[in-house]
Amino acid sequence: MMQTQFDYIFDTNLDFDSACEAIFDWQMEQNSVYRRFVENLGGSGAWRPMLPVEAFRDARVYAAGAHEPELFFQSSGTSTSVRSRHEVAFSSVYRKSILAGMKLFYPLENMVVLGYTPGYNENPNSSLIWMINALIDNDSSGLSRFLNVGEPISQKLIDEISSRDLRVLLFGAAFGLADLAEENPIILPEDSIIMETGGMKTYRREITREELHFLLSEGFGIQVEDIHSEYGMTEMLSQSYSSGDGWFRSPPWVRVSVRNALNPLEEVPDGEEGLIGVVDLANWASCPFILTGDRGVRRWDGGFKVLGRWSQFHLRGCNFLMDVER
Amino acid sequence: MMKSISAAQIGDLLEEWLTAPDSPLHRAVVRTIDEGLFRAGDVHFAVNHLRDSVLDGQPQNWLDEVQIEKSNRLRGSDSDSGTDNSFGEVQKDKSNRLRSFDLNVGPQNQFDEVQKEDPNRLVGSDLDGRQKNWLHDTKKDENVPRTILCLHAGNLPLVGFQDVLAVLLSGVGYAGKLSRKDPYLLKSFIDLVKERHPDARIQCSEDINTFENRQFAEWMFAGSEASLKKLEHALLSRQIIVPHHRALRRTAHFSAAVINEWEEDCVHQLIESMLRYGGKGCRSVALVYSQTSLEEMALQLVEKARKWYLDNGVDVETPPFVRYRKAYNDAVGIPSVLLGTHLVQAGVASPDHPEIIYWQEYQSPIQVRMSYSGMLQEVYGCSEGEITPLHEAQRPPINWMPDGVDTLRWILESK
Repeated sequence: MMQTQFDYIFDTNLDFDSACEAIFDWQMEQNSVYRRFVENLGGSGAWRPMLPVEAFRDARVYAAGAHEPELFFQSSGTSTSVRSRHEVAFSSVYRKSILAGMKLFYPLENMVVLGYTPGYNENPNSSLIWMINALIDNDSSGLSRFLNVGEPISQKLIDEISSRDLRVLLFGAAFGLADLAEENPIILPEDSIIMETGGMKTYRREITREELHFLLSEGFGIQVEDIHSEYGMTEMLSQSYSSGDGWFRSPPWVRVSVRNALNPLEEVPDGEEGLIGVVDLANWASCPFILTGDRGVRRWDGGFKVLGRWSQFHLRGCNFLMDVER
Repeated sequence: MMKSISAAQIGDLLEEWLTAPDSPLHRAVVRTIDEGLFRAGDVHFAVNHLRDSVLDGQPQNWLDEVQIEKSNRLRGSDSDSGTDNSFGEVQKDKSNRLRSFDLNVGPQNQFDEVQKEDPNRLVGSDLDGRQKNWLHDTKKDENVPRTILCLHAGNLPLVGFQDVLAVLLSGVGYAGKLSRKDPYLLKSFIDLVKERHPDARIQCSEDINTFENRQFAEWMFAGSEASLKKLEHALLSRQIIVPHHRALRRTAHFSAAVINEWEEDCVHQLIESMLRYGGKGCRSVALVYSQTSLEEMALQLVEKARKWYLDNGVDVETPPFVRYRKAYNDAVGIPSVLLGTHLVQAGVASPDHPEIIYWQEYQSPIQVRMSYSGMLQEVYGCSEGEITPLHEAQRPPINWMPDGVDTLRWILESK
């Protein structure tokens, strides 16, 4: 059955390279865009080039034959810009990736998931909100939910969570949470975690990440170390997590590399900056081999840092800083 | 006592530097090419263009023009180049371009969605306590001769020469940070000036640390808006500049061509504007707007590019990124034409790599300017009398205005 053919990627004893090879073969057979891309580059076999993430904007990236996609997600963007569209063949695969991935890093059985984001009904095409919704559905306590943006978190809810010896896993965009912490601070139960999911498109001031984390720590009564971040995108089905130190860790079916921006077929050594490339095997029914537009650096154990968007603009025109001394 | 050099003397220096058989420029050219800093064709092109644009009294003409304009303004009358403008208002320049600029803090910039800072990357912007105190303590010393610090980029051979010339013509002192990517060409001129005029206020170095504690009150720089803050902080922390400084910042980093009718030689000029210097200059064309589609022009572009490579002795080796992009474009169905080292592709985008040019549906020059504002250096056209001629893309006159600002005028504004 197509839907479950690659479910083994979620096994803890996954042989990544072997699974990657099988999924690459599937891609070459089922994904015409990726196949043409690989053939145009003259490659095959063990050489698996990363497809630019813009492909999800420029074409239909789909590798599930005639099976109708069960979900589709769209990236956020302005009304005038063309948005990425990710057609997800099997919602069960996304759900498995979310839950299996989170459980590797967080004790979900002891956690109440609160989403300080717009709700699912208002944003059915947001992969982030679908993910939070899946986590909420997974919680048997009945306390997990979306919160109303702009309103304080209910003290009664927090008291209920505490009384059951549960912890809070609070999802939200960085600046949305900052606003909440400033305007309606509340002490969360001990060992609760805040999960930053990236910034909102508009923000009212500039502060450093350290200042933001301090603000959240003060506003919610938790340690700075308990402010975590999540790295994911519309075009992927898996997420990576950072526990406050900025270094992201990935589940076993995800492998992150850093590519040379002037030659994305080439990986740069650990410690050097470049474009983040992701192999997300859970994406086998669209495209697992993705070159993002994010700048990052990797370290020896596979952990990686996201340093922002990669700006190509400095490659054109005069740029004094190409030559600045340290 | 330090002396400034007259425009006539500068003219003589240029004559010697550019034409004398034993000029130090020749050695600088050979060394630049031998060390692989730039392609031989590009170096010779830059030098030849300078010969055409700075000899025969052209610097004097530039100075005269600016001084006349200044004295006309001081007398309260209109100048030939348009209505007098105060801070931040729109000004019409000689090429009928519409630009808005702020003489004191650099051109205004509009950023589209692509350029907005990633909200995940947060930056701190306050000066630390030490610098805040220094802000109050530092006073302008009226007895210190005026000197301008020029930070030269090294993306093209002799980039920054106009700045050097403008500072010398103004009579103000010059301090230049040379790029390690172009260490010989400019230096050969500066060394000649120092040799012939030992009392001139002129200094250069490849090492920014040479200028530590110099506390310049004026400086010039070209680079991205994003890098400006970081640079300013670094210069302030080393007291290379003072907090209350005057800066001429250029951030425009690409140009566009709007071509409605494909006249004779237009394709050749377009190729030159795209391929010269590898596309790395701010005057290089990164966007083409035309009613003619890319597919219709493909053959002509390829032929002219092939001839250009031959004429300029360029080894045609397609860079990895261009191959990668072409493979992607073909996979997703984006029309694109490979021109050896460069790729022209259809579609709307913000220019990124110097080797990628975007071909888009016709828009008027004004619409193009409004779309890209402070990022865009020039808009060229092929028809006579219309905007900046395309043949001037890589052959600008010596008094062309980077980011819409006349450099010499900017310097003299404060005199």
